[in-house]
Amino acid sequence: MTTDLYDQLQINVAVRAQGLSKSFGKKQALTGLDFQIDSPSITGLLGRNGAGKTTLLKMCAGHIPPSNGLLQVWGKAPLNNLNVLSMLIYSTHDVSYSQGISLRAILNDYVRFFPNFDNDFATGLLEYFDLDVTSRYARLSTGQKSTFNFAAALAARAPLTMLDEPTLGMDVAVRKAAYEVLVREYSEHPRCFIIASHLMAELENLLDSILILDAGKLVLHDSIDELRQSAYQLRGPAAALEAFTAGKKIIRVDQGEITTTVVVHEPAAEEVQREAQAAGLHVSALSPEELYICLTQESKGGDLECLW
Amino acid sequence: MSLVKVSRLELANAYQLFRLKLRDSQRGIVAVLVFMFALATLNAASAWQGFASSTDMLSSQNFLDYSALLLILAPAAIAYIFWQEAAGKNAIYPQTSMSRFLSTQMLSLFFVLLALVSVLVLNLIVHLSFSLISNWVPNLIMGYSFSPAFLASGFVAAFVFLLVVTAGFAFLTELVKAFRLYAIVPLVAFIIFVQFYHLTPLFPFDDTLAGIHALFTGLIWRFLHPASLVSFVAICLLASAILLSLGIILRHFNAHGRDTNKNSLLFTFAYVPVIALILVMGFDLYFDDSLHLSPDSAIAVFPAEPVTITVDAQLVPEGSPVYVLTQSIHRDRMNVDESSVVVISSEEDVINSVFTFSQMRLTAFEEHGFSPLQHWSDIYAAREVDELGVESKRSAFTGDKIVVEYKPASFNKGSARLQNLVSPEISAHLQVWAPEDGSFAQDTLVVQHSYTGEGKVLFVPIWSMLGLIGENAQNARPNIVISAQ
Repeated sequence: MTTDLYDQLQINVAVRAQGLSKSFGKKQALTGLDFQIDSPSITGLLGRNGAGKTTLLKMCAGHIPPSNGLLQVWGKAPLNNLNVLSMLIYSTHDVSYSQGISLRAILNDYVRFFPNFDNDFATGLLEYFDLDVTSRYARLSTGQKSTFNFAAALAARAPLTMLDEPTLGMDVAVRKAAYEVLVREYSEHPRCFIIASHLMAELENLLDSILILDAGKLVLHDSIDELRQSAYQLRGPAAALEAFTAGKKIIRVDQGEITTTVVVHEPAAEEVQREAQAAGLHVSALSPEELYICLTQESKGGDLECLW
Repeated sequence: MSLVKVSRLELANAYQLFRLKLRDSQRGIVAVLVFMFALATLNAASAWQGFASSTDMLSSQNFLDYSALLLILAPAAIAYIFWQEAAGKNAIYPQTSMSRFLSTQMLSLFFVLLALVSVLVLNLIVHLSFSLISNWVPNLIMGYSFSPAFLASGFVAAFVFLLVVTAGFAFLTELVKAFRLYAIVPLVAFIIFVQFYHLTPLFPFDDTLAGIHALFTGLIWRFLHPASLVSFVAICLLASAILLSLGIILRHFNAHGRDTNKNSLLFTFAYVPVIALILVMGFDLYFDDSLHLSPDSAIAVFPAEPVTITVDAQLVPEGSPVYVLTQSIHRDRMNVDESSVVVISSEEDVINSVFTFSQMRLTAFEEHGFSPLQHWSDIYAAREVDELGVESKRSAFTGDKIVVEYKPASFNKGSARLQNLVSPEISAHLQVWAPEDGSFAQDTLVVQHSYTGEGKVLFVPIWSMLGLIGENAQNARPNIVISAQ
C-alpha cells in the first residue's frame, strides 16, 4: 500500500528541510538547516562526532520532533504520521531489540512492520555475511550486529533507507562486501539512501551527493562530482600564495618551514590553474575526504603539541 | 480538537506492537506463573504437614492468597511494561505516539486479565485437589466453598483495581515525559510522605502535618473502604477514567518521540518509589489475616445453626421479675467476649424488651488462669444477671413460655472461624421460688450452653481485597436469644 502511494504520488523529494533547528534544553544540536534530498539517490551525511547527524536522522525518522523550522519526508511531517513512517527505515549499528531474541524472530517482526520487506533476500544476505539466523542478537559482536542491521535495513526496501554508521565495528572485508551489496541493491531497487558515517574515503565512490554538518550547521550539500571540483590546493612560498589568494575563499592554511599549503574552496577553473602555475605555485586537486576534513576541522580542540 | 483520533492503520500498528511486546514479555509471564504454581505446591505440602502434626480436635490450615500476591506483583509488572516503552525498545519499527500508547495499554490489560485468570485457575486446582482428597480423608473440610458468584465479584473488584493501577502508570508516564524532573521531584516527595505516613509508629507526625495527614487518611479510607462492591467498581472506573484522560491530554500537548534512552533513567526514578509504595501497602493486605477470611460470601457456607429450646413459664406469676443465670463452657480460644445473652420478653407476640449482657471474659479468664499456650482447656463462665426487663424498665414478666435460642460464638483457631464445626448444646430450666411473705417471686432462668467439635479445616482464600469492601467486612455476631412469648 505504501509503495503504491509512493508510486502514485511520484514524489521525488525524499527529505526537505527549511530553517530546521533542534535543541535539547540549552544545547543547540542543529541550527537553521536548509536542504533537499531527492530520490533515488545515495546521500552521505558526514560530520564529526556531535555534529548533529544522528539528531537529523532521528527527526527524519519521526523519533524526535524538530524544535523549529520545516521538515518533510515524502512531502509530510514524519512525526506520528504512519503513512510516512511506513515508507522509511532508520537503522543504526545497534538497534534495541527484545532481550534474548533470535535473528529469525527479528526478521519475522520486520515482515509485519515493513510492507516491502523481502525475507528471502534478508535470509540470503545473512547467509552471505555468514550470520546464523538462529543466533541470539544479544550474543553477536558489535560488527555482527552492524552487519545484521545493515542487511535487515536493505531487505526492508523502504523508499527512504537511512543508515546511521552502518559499518561500525565491521572488519575491512565485511565493510567492502557491504558496500558492494549496497551498490547492487541500489541498482536493482533504486530508492533514497542516506548514510551517516565518518568514513568519507570508503563512501565517496558510492555517493551521489554529500551533506556535511559541522557543529549543527550545514556546511556543504553538493553532488559528489561537484564536490570534487569545488576546491583545490595550492602549495608554494608564503608571499606568492598570499598575493594569489587575495579575495579567494580560503578554508585551510598549513604553514611549513619552506612552503605553505592553502586550500581554496572554489572551483579550479583552467584559467586559475594557469595563473597559479605562472605565479610559481603548485596546484593539485583535493579529494572529498580532504575537503571534508578541511570543512570540519575548525572546531577541533587545542594544540596537540602543548600536551608534550 | 480530537484527543483520541485513531486511524485504522494506527489500530493495526498498535496490535502489531502489542504482539511484539507480548512476545517480549513471555519469559516474565512464564516466570511469574511458575513462581505462583511453585508457591501453591509448597503451600499444599505445608498444609498437609500441618494437619499431620496437629493433635487438636479442631485444627485449621490457611493457604496463601494468590490474589493478594498478585496485587503486589502486577503493579510492578505494569510499571516494567511502561518502562520498556520509555526505554525505546523496538523503536526501529514504524509507530506513532498513539499506537505506542494503545499497544502499552493493550499489553497491560492483557497481563491483568491473564494474571487474574491464573489466580482463578490456581484457586480452582488447589480447591478441587483438596476436595478430592477430602473424600478419602475423614474430617478434612474445605473452609471456603468454590462460590462462582463470590469469585466473579472478586474478579471484577481486582480487575477494576488494576485498571486504576494501569491508568495511574499511564498518567505518571505522560507526566514524567511532559515535565521530567519537575514532575519527579514533587512526586517522589509526596510518595516519601505517604511512606512515612504508613510507617507512622516509626516516624511520628509533627502537628504541622496533622491537617494533611487527616486529609490523606480520609481519602485513603474512602478509597479502600467503599460501602459496596458497586461503589468500589464505580470509584475505580472513575479514577481510571480521570487518570487516563489526564494522560491522553498531556500526551496530546506534548509531542514526543520514541527514542528516549535518557528517559529510562528518569522513569526508573519515577516508578521505583511508586512500586515501593504499592509493595508496602500490598504487603499489608497480604499479611492482614482478618482481610483474608472476612468476606461474608466466603463464610456463608457456615451458618452457625442456632439451637432453640422452650421453657414452660406458666408457673411464673404474672408481673414478677425473672432472673437469668447463664453457665457456659468455652473451649480453647472461644471468643467469650462475643457471647451474649439476649433476653426478650414479648406481649402478644410483639417483642418489646431486650436485655443483653456480655462482660464475661475477664471473669472467666481470671478465674481459670487462661494462657494463650493452653489448648483445649475448658473455661467456665457464669454470671447471674439482673432481672428480665430491667433495661426497658419493664420488670414485669408476662407470657407463659420462654424461648431460649443459642447460637455459638465465633470460634477462632488462629485466624480461622470454625463455628460451623461446633455442635451447640444448650439446656435451660426455670427455678421458681415463691416467697412466703407474699412479695414478688425470685424466679431464675438457668441456661447452660456449650459445644463439641472435631475436624481439620483447610482455608483456600481468594480475593482478600473484598474484605476491604463495605458489608463484607462485617462479621456475624453469635448470640443467645431468650424470648418470652
